[in-house]
Amino acid sequence: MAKSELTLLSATASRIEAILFTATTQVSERELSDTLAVPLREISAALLELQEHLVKHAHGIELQNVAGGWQLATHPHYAEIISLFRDVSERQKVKISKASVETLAIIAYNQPVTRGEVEEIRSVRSESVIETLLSHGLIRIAGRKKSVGSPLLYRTTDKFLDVFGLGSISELPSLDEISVSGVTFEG
Amino acid sequence: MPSAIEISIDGFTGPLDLLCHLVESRQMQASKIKVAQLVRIYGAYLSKTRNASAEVISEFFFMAANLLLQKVLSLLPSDKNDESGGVEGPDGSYDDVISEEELLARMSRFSPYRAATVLLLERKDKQGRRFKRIFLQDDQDEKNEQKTQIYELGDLYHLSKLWWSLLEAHRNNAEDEFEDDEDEYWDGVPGSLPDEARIQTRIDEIAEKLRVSSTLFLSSLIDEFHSVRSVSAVVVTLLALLEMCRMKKISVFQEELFGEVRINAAFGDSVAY
Repeated sequence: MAKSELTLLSATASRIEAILFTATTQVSERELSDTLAVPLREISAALLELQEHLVKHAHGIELQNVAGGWQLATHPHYAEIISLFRDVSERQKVKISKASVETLAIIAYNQPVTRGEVEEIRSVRSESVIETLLSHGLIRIAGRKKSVGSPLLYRTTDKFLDVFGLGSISELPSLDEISVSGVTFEG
Repeated sequence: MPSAIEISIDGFTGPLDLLCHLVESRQMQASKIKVAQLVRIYGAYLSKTRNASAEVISEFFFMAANLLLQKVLSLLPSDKNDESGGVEGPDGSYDDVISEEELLARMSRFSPYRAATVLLLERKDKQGRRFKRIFLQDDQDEKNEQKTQIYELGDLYHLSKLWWSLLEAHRNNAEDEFEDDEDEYWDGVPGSLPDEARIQTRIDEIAEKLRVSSTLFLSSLIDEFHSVRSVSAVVVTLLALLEMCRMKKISVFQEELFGEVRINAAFGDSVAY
């Protein structure tokens, strides 16, 4: 690409890029606004500008909206290269079993939900899976249900959004939208 | 991040999932599932993976047994007197028996979550290909340790500095006090420890007294300082007695509570220094 085709970032977008470069967690638009003393609307516009800029100029990093905040992450295209670099990829690899993801899906779509309700849908005991998810911080206890036995209620966490690359839980398609074509359960 | 517990059967998370998979992949109607065939396929699968827990296998067989039971029931003439239309379970209840309709209902209810699981796995795989600046716990621990250490050292340094200045001031005063009897300036404040020279001097004095009289009383030793009212002198006397006890030069007795403390020269030992 010729130099003349390069577009320059606005001052706000450049500052945001610098802040996000140093951040080890997602940064909310509110925090960016407070730090830079810039209105939220301008921050939102600058974030989109930075996001487009990184894509347009084929940068190795991209700007992502995850768990209610923004973060710089490497482009998926370079995953193999990064896996060769020290132990970065190993450190960030999150290993979750299919049973755990299945349980997470049920919790995500029904939260807050009790273990009994999860087990009713899965038709298998889910105690150990829920314990694992709790220990990994992917779900959290969100109180007790006002019913017999006052069972614990579970919710997904921001880490869940982070691991699955979701800005918020509302980004998940509804169950109705999820296609189950080709499968017939009729008798 | 610590590694998670991996499910033991690759691709399947439970008997219901397995049945769904078989129904999907083989385009079978659930009502026409051949249990024997299922068990055979599953057995072959298990022997291939060699990695299934007893819990998973038992759950599968429980489900398969229910299917089998329903099939048997459908072949037998129904008992008109039995209004429930089912077979009584071992505990006299029908709760554990899942009807085919119930099984189908469960599979239908579970189906969207199965699709959601696939979707989430895809998202996770895609997100897993992105790497971000990470917060290294080891580095942070080291940083915290260093930070704490600096704080502790700094704190100790200032504390020591203050202590040294107080000690120095007290020493200067103590020297004056020993000569000028200024203990009253330190009322309520713990005095500095007497130096060894003063204790040794007092030991020599007590040893000399014991040479004259083999028994002394603590009250008489303390009364020597009554006129000068020197607390430090009393402390020196007590330390001297303790040191002499440690060196087994004297024996100390108190026959009754709050009674007189008697000091004897150790039997057969010299108190000469």
